[in-house]
Amino acid sequence: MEQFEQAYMEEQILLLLDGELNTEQADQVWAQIEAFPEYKALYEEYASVYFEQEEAIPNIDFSYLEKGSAAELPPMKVKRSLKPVWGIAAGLALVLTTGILIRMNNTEIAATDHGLAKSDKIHQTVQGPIQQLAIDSLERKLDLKKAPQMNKSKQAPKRYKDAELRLALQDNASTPSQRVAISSIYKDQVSGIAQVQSGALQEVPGRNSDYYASLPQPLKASEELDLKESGGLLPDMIKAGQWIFGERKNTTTVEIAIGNNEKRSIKFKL
Amino acid sequence: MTRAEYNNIVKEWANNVFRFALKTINDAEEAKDVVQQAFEVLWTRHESIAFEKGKSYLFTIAHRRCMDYYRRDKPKEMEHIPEVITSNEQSKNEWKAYLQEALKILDQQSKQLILLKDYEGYNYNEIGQITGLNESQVKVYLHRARKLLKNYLIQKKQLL
Repeated sequence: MEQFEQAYMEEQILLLLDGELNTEQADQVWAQIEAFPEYKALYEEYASVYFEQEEAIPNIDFSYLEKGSAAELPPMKVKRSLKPVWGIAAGLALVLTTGILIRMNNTEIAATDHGLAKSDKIHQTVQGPIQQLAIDSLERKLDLKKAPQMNKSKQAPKRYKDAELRLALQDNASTPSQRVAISSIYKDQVSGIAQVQSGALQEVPGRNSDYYASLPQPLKASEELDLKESGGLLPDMIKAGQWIFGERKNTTTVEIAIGNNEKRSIKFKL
Repeated sequence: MTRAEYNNIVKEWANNVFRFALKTINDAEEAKDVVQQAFEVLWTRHESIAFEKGKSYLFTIAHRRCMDYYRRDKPKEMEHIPEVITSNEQSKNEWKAYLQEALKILDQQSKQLILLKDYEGYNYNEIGQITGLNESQVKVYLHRARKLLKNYLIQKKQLL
């Protein structure tokens, strides 16, 4: 019985400390605490394992996350966990994917002089023709003037022809309301997630290397949030390549670093 | 919420989300990523989310991202986190340090519950909504975590 009472009081004390009791209940517990020294000791022990609410709030400058401010673009960040083996894997993946793409489409891909790609898991079926992907159009959308430019000598040679570039992105100049959703995400979100389901690509007037696909429906929360952990850079790259160029597997969330290698990433759902 | 409201949330809560992520996964760079991702998602959906719900929405995303991180990578040892010293009493500061250290003995979920309760001041119901647990589970897990912390610190005290 005593043990039961002890356990009950322990729970009541924790509820009291958690602020989960109403006034009447709290008064009753306080009365017990005042009346019995062992409960008072228990209360004090538990009170000492609560963290103070105002304690240790860091002071990091996150103003770049604000929208419409000059500091909108985030600072360049180097992934500290990127080990050399990943660098090799990334390079290999890029080469492999490029090879697959060239083979399957008999065309050249924008092999990106900006970075490499990493994808999260595949999780949605798509239909229709597949687009090629060009990073340079994306770069224009993102106003990368604000980002440090890669050293000219380190840039990979461009291996695509402008006329062959395709990118399922919206054009700001000619967008019905539904398309604005995509362009605004890209414009405002450095790491914005945009869903571009396959469909007929349309050429952006006056820009022969830019294409857009209209968004069938507004983005859904579940889709945006369904970013699962990566199965690894290399397999994901290959999956992405397979999907993009013909196997029609699924949508893929691809993370592409632009600027200096892995310094910043853009995620988008193809 | 409007753009201005979104920006207010950045100002008001970004560092809290960062603290939550940092204390959960013990990696400052990853914690910054978590903050960025949480705000990206919030911005993507800002038009459909009420301003009042912004904070809990952020913590929900941050919680999920931290759990993803935990499943993917082994968490690191606790990094040194610069503390804002609010008192000159040495013993109080020592106790705070022990308490921080004691967080390490908790599993990820318990740690997150403690952080949401103590630092963010959420009640059981709100914590349940953020973590996907029901209220009873929140209560049981929280109480269990407190007992662990208490017993750990009592042991520590005895050793010292």
